Amino acid sequence: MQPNRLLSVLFVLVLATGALAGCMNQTGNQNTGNTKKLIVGSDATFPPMEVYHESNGTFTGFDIDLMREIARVMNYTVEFRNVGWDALPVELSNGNIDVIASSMTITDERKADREFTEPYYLVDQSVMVGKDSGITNVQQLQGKRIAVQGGTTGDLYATNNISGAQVNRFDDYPSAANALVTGAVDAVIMDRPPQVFFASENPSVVVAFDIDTNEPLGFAIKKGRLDLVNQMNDALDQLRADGTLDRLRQKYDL
Amino acid sequence: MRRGLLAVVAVLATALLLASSLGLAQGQDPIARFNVNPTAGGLDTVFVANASSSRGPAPIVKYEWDWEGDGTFIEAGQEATHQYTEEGRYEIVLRVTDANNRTDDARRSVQVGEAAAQPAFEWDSLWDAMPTLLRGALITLQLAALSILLGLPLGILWGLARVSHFKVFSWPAAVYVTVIRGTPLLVQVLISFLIVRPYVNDTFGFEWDAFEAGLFAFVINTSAYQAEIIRAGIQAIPSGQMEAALGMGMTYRQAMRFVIVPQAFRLILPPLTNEFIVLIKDTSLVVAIGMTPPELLGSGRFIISRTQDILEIYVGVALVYLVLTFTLSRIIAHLEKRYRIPGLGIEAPGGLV
Repeated sequence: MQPNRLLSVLFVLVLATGALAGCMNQTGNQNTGNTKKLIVGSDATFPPMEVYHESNGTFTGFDIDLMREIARVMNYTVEFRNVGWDALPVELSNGNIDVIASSMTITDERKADREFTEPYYLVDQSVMVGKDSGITNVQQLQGKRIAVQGGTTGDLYATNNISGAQVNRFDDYPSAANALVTGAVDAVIMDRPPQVFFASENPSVVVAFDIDTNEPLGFAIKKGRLDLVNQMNDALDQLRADGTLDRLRQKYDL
Repeated sequence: MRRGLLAVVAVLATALLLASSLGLAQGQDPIARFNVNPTAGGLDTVFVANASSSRGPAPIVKYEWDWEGDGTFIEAGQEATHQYTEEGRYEIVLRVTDANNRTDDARRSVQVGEAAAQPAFEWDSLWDAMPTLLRGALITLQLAALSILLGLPLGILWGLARVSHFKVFSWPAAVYVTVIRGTPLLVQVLISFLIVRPYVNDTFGFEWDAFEAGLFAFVINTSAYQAEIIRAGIQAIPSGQMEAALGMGMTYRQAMRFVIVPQAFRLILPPLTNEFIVLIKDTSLVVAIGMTPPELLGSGRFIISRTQDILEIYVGVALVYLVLTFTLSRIIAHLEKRYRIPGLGIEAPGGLV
């Protein structure tokens, strides 16, 4: 942490106690519209889509690579920030991030408070269960304990379509998936790619079947910033045409 | 006339674009993709592979399957089934060929029979994670130490206000302490991150991130607890001392400064350091706001998101917290013994935290 940030915390504390504010210099070097830099928020606990490496502070994954390519085409620099899933929309609307790149399904409800690019990938929900559970279809999930990441389309599906299910909402995907490994729940409903990744690393669980929801994933952008939406769509078109998108999908086995 | 010309140009341009994109498409490989259900089973299990999600610029004309991963492909349809005769882990390879005679492979793994038993606790996983966890522990310590240091002056101010005879001071202090101590720290962290931070960033042009927002919440929170600790310390000094000091002609301020506070300070040292230990553990709440670079618990959770070693990592995280708090409590017990006022307060216990 830089000293002036520390000072800024102190400064607000002084204000809060109602004492003299003093004559602090305002730093005022916020990211403004013309710096040509995209700040991208991602809930980076979601391999293979978005992953954070705390050893060197880097991000990898399909969404991350695609976002880098988009920024390259648009001639922007890009900076990634890890933001919890619940906080992503708030961060977007208060301008702390410009784009959400976090495997976000385009839904009507979400479109009400944010813009989306054109879809860049279609994803199905999938159901992961214990290896010996014998669960092979949706009917068998009735009345079962189901782990989801709260506020995801998997959560919506479990809540609305499976009668009598006890839905456990976790704040990130690994916690939901690990609840299955430890036997705390009977099934996990989530986008297919992370489930396949998780099951491939964990022999005690299997991806039993898919629920064909065919959901379009898009990058979310602050409501009203249509200029950015259009630029990103143009970039996406170009990446689709020159084969970059397909190459990235192959790279991550999507 | 002009508009007509424009339309012609537009149509020509579109045609050109279409032609060029078609040309590009012809130069591309198809994409082989398939699902296999189930991904694990026994010798009686029929594995069903479905390649309907494969696609290509040109129609796919041939689907070949290598079920054993040994290079022998069998041509079958878009959907193929297989039953294994031996247990083990197999890699299934799908090769698609399109009308332009271009091919692409895709791979999926299945488990037949019991997977090799996993060791219950892999010390290696814990060992490998240690450098990352220790780096996280440094950030934890940084966060806790800054909170306690920045919180102390604030806590002293609120604490003095709390014991003041003037209601203008004591009332706001009482309200502050009640509100902050009466609401969960997690809620305060979220409010600080989601509401206070954007506000101060907008208003003052700061660049607060999760770290600063978390720090702010911890400082506010700990200052309320410290205020109570300081109030208790001051009130623990027998009131006769204040009366005697005033009787000797000292002012209230002088009595506070030279008689009450020096004794109170030594009395509050144990609870204050205890507050520091509590704070070390409480800083783990910043995982709720996804702080990066992550502190101790956050580091562990990022490792888990990639390696899934829940047991090893959470045990490792707990161990590091324990080492931090235990070491600190030993240092503190030592300090307490040294600075104790004979006859005032309780003797430091020899035990753990």
